[in-house]
Amino acid sequence: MTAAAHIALFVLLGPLLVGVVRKTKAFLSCRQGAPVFQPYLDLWKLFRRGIVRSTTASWVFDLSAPVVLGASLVLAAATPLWSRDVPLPMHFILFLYLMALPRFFQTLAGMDTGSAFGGLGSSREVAVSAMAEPALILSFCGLAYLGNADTVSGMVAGVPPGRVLWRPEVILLAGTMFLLLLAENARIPVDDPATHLELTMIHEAMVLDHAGVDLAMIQLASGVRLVIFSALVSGTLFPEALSLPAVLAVPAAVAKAVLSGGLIGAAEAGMARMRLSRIASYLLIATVLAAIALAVRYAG
Amino acid sequence: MPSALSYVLASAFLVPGILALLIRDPGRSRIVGFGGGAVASFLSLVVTLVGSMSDAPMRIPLPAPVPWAASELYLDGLSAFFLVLVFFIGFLVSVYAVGYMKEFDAHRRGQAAPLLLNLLLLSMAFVVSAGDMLSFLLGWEAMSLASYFLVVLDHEKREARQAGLIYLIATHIGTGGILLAFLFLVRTTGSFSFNGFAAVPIADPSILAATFGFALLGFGTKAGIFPFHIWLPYAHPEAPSPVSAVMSGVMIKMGIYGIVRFLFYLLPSPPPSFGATLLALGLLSGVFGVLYAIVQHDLKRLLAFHSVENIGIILIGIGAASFCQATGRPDAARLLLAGGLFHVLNHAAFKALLFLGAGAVLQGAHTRNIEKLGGLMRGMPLTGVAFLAGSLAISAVPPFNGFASEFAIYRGLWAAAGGAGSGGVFLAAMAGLALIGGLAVVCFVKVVGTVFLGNARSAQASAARDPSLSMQFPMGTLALFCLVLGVIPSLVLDRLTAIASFLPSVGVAAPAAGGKPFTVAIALAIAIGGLSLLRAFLLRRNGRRAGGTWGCGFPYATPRMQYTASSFADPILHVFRGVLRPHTTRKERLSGRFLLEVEQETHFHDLLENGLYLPVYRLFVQAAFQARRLHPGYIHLYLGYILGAVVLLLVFFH
Repeated sequence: MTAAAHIALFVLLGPLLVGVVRKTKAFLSCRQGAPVFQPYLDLWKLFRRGIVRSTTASWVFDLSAPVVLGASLVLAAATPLWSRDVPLPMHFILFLYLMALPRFFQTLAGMDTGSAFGGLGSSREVAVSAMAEPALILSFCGLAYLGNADTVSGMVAGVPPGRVLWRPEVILLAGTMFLLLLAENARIPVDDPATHLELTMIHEAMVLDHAGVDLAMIQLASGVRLVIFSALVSGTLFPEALSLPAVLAVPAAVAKAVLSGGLIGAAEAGMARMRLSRIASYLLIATVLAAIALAVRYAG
Repeated sequence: MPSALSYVLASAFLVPGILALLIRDPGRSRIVGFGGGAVASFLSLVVTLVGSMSDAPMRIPLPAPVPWAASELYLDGLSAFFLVLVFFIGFLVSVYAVGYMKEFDAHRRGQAAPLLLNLLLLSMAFVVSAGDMLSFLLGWEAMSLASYFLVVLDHEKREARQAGLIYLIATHIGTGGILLAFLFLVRTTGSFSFNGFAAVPIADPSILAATFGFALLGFGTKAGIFPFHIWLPYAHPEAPSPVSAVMSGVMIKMGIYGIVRFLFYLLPSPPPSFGATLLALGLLSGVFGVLYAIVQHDLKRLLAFHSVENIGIILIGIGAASFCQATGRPDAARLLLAGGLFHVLNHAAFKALLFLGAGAVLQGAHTRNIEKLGGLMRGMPLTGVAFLAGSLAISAVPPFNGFASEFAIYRGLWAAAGGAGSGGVFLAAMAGLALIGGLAVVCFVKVVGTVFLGNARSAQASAARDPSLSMQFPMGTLALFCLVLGVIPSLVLDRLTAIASFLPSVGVAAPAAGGKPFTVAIALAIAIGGLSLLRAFLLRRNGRRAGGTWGCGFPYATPRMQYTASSFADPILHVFRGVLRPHTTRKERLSGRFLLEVEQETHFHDLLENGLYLPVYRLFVQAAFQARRLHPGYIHLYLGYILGAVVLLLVFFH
């Protein structure tokens, strides 16, 4: 029962987070913007629509949307959002490698329609993720040291609470995770989810030929992934919130998601997109930051 | 009793091979030769599995090849593990070869293939069970020669002859290194048997370092470790696909066997620098292997570079294990050694699967160039599914077996990093392993996407069909094996931890918290299955129709407009251009001011090949030309040489 509630909270918060990000961006660039709850309406619409399926596509394409969403839900089941207890405690290495499963199928689906856009998006997606991998593993190692546990939920909940701001390694790790959040969730400065030109896209180019139910599943999965990453960042900064009783913890989780949405929106509004060739140095910065956090741990 | 049984099994390999030479009809020859090899491998597999249940090492005396040293087979847990590897892959590949080797029916030499393949399998079994230096070297040389003749089976092709020559030189440099390493041991211990070597430690550190260095050169060349890997991307693609599967899946692991045998059995208590060297070489092999693989277009050459990568991963496990053992981290050492050995088995399974899949593609579409393939999932659905499973496994995506062994290595590195002292080394190794894994995903999304998905890029690609049953069965079995070992890794890992248990340990390592791939696999199956049903239900209600791929508003036409494998690899190529050094030549055909045709070629030259091996090779050739002046063909000059030699000998030794 709690397992279902845990996953349902991720599914419900996903579109909200996306809505908050968009609204913040619109607000900061002096636009009206769509309502915060628009992503829910979009999903509702898409779930009731049929699909146009490319004649080129194979069964890999049909399987891709369920795999992408299903694997994201399994990852969500291991992420602490409102409590230190999660339905599926997962070793952090397993967690990181499981992220490759949805990516594998998503990028294959991009190639499966025989579209140049799909290939373009897939190629960039796998390249960005590959280069983000060392930074991800190092920052998770740092978190595991801090929280003194090997499971994702255990290590986030185990971060010693109090006076976070005085501890450089916590700040460095949360900062690295935030850089990685932007990179792994197709956000500015790595990718622009709202760009108008397919040639410059990464994520959106890959899903151009997905429609209706398939597109809804993939958008939902993107929302869930965003909640997973923001839960990791906010959990590291405010581990106390995970020990609250459920009556307070769930609203706290919603508040944290809205806050991260605001932060992501502000970061996006304040930056321009980088050239693709610069992404490598961006991710190298994240790697070095994570390494510094680990070095601080060894020194201290 | 075991002695008689081993003779029977050995003849079960050899007799069908010889019969295959005598039978005139090529079809029947294939069935007898390869089928006999499959039966022999299967029987030996069963015998090994049953026999390895007892923990005590088994000794089988052999007739001595020389009067002053006894020869014997000495089978312990490590040998049994590698024997299982040889016979398991040997069985499946032999079954596959019955169907695949049809393309050599037109040539009489094709009928030598069964004997050579069976000899290769038998000699590898001999190598891993040899208990003394002489039988080891005998098996090693038989293995090298049998595989050389298999590489040049297609000797009408210039590439095959060249690849064979490079391989022959490399493998003999390697044998030379191994021989020297053994001679150092013989000099120190005065014994020829492995147990004798292990009994007396080498006291002098420089002799110890030299022994290890030569062993590393010898075994590293066979294994395809980074600076010694250059023969591998030539030989693997040119050999017939089942042979590539055996070479890449099993034969290069003989190098790993040698390294493990030396490091953990024959050289008691090696210093930490040995393990650290292996760890560094493992990281280099991993990163360079996968980077070179990403830019390849030849399917089998690409897979060959992935062998370099995976040998690197194995070496990270084994090197770190030795380092941990030497620096007082016994628990981590056990996990790492077991993880490294587990990756040996897993790589054998998925790499054999991928090479067999590549063989099916080659037979169906008659090209290894992935830029000419595409859409094969339609014509070859079974091969496609099996190849996809192998690709997920090699990219270390859970819940497949490639992840299971990398996870064991990660856990060992993580346990080692927690201790005091040089923890940063292990964290760096983890980061390196992560980068290797990420790049492997890039490479295999590229391969599966370009070869099996999208539209066919040539007529022969659209005509390709699934192969015969004898080729489907091994691929299906291996794909299933990759999944099962990924979901329930403890089936093998517990046994391997037992093999690694000679490493002293303060306690049994606790199972990793939240590290059960089984639970995750069940959760994934439920989630993906449920969502697929939901999708099917919603599509039935909402409707689906078929349409063309969206072409940006233009009528979408040719398969040439698809993304190519080269474009796919470009972002990585751009980032790592300093390492990969692309070399581009461009030819333009102009008519007046108009550009009619552009021809552009990009080549990737192996850094070491141009920077190190070619200059050394040229030096040797030059020296040989100089030395030729010494024998101009005058007999009186030669008599003069003899006189000079006799005088010198008398002066120095009388």
